Amino acid sequence: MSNDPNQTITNLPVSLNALENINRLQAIFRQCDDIAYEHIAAGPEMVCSAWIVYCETLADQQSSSDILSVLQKLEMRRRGNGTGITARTIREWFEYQGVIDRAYFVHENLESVVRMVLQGHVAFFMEHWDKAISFDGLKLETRGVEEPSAERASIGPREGTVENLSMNIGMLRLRLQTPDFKIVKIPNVGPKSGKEVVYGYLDGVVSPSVLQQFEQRIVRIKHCDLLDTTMIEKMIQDSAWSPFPQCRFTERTDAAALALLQGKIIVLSQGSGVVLICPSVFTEFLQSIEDYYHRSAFTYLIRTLRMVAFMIALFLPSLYVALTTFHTELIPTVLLLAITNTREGIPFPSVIEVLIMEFFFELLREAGIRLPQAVGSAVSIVGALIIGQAAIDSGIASPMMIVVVALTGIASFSIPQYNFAIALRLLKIPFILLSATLGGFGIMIGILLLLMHLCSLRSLGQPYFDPLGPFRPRKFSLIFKPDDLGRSEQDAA
Amino acid sequence: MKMRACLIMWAGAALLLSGCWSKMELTERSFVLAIGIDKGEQETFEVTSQIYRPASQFGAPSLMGNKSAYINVTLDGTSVSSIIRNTKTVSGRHSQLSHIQIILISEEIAREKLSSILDFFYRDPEFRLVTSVMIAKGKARDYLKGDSMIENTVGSQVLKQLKFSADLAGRSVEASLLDIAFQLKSESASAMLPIIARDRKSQKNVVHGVALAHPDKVVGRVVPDRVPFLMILAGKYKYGFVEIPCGGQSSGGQKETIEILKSHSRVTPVLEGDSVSARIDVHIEASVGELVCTTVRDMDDEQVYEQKVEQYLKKQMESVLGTLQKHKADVLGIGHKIYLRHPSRWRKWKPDWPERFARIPIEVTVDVHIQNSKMMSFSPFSRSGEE
Repeated sequence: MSNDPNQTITNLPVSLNALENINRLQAIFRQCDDIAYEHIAAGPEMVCSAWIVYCETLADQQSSSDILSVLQKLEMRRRGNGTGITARTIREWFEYQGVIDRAYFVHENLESVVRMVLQGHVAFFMEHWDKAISFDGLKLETRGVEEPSAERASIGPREGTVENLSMNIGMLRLRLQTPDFKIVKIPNVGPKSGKEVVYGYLDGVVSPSVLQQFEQRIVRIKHCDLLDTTMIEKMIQDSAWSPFPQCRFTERTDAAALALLQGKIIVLSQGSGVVLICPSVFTEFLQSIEDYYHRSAFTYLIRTLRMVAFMIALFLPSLYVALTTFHTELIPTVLLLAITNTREGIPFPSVIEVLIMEFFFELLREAGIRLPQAVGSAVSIVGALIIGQAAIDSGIASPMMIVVVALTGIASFSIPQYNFAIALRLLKIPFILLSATLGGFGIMIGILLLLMHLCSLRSLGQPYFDPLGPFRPRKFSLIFKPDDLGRSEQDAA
Repeated sequence: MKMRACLIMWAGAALLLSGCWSKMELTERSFVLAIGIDKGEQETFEVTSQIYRPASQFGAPSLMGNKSAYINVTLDGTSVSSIIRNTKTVSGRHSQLSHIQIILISEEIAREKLSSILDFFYRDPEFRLVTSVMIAKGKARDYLKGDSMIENTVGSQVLKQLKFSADLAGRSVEASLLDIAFQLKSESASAMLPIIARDRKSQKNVVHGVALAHPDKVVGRVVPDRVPFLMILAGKYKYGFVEIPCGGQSSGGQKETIEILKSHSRVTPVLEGDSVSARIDVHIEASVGELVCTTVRDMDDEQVYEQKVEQYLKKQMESVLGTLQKHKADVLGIGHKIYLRHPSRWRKWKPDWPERFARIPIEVTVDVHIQNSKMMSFSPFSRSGEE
């Protein structure tokens, strides 16, 4: 990856000599066997020598013949006037923006021709003309619109984004039919990938300072080759060292539209269905789009449940270690006797036991993600049933520990945002170590450090721990209650 | 920067080094569930610790077999604390005292001195002040032996028995370490403790009866059948049935019961010149439990029945008060009440209060309100409208 923003492929202009142009292109595209060069002679008496250049793997084979038919149509029209078509008339036709049934672009230098060819355009060179035209002939099989598998919802639209940028923007436009919905394009991002990146916001809803902050940062992506929208997070995030993600991702168009309505900025890029939402604050990671579709009583319940899940995913193993090694007097007697029964005969201290089991669990999770579905289920069976049972039987781990680790895992799965769940998985380990050395006191120190970090963290200049960090009692209920979207717009206006 | 690093180090040291460390795995601890204290030879104690034995789930099932869930370790020595410390040398694990369910003290030793036995329990940080204390008839360690009826260990079995006996049957009183300290430290310097005894017929442990302690040792007891009346007087009665004899020659010792739902008592010391008397007002909300020889048809019948119950209760309570006065144990806290209202008078009376308490007249008024008879008709087999 080069950091030189001015890196160009070539700075040669389009030459008058068509063959020379072709030779130059062939030099640029050497060893690129999927570039096709076709020589044609058009016009009456075949006086008009021309070349068609396109990428076979991107452009439709039909496209080159389309060009020919365009030329033929031009010929027909000219003939009606009684004058024969010449190369000059074709040139003039295109240069003066004549109307034909295909969109076309006129290029003056080879650089843009090369870029267009790589985007699936069919380029057309003509003898004695120092310009080239290109038609969009991109034809690639793409995925259809379907429900995103990572963000299933029991109710609500099943529409997910696809890899086609314009289609994604179109789906968003349909959801927000207002001129306030701004879409700003950043073309040709990255020297090699040459992606088109787009960011959008709702004018009047988005906070101007956030937008300004964002625009200052988004410029950085110009120098980077992006494979996916998710990589943009690294360019615009406030703190790279924080375990907590400062941007959200979604593949649901309704979630993206909701984010826009809440005054967020979304970023999309060509070739990726991921929509990046920023700035994102702590509480939003525990919310799901579905919360807005259910009755509010249920939303209260489900969000409270997620809070508990957050606590469990973060603290349960460390609490278990602290209680069993430091604060046994806090466990009710009957439960304590049950735990001592399960712990008896385990050779490891409980901190080692919990680390071993967490390691097993993370290993199984990592193994299961990338395997084909058929094998993946086998892994989970082997992992959950056989290894779990065998670990208990062989005395490596106690059943209570399996319960703790499994519950922690389940709780982390119930966090709606995957990147946030990863943060919890990361933070769990230092908490276990703290509790193993200092008990409940250590957990408290950890919580204090965590709160200090959360309160000082910013997302695009916005406080990350928002209604809790700078304590705002009025906004506090929004943790449990879905936003009243109608009112928020009135407030903004 | 240097300043900041220094500050962080100071804060870290202050936070991390100022506490004490108690890291110990579960498998390094042994949990003591009950303690029994007996009199040893001469001036020594015998302390029995009931230690929970975790049932390991590994190994062949046959090995796990018929081992009991606990072991009793009895050691003797001259101080309770040293004996409990020495238990480690027998069990090989740290004795964790935080989950002690019950402390049994044999009557023999409790009649000598309570404070020297219990002192350690108040000082040790592992002990809970809500741990129940009980007086055991005979040897305390005998009650920790054998199989428990239902619960996992004998200690928790005894605790459950005590709770039931005190809360639902009114035949005992709950006394935690804290309660005892409160009562013995109060100006009345008298406390009530539950008693555990072995029933001769069924050979089972029964928790009933109340021991009276004053000022530092057990001086007497109230028999189980009288305990409900003592509890009502002390305002500690929660719920239970009280038997009312039918009276008259023809009944032949039959008894009816009332179910006491709520009881309230107020103790008022009355000072007249240099003489003192006390009044105890008792109000009871009850319902009919079992009727054998009375018929309650209407409001008038009910009133008659109420009066009969009131009279009986009054008689019983007076006899309980007689027992208290005999043992000079002011467990109702009359002395403490005088101290609160007339501190200067109390200072004069305090030295001979037990003797004075034994003599004072105590007037009891009982007000019983029967809420319902739990039935629509007045007797199970009556046909209403027949008569």
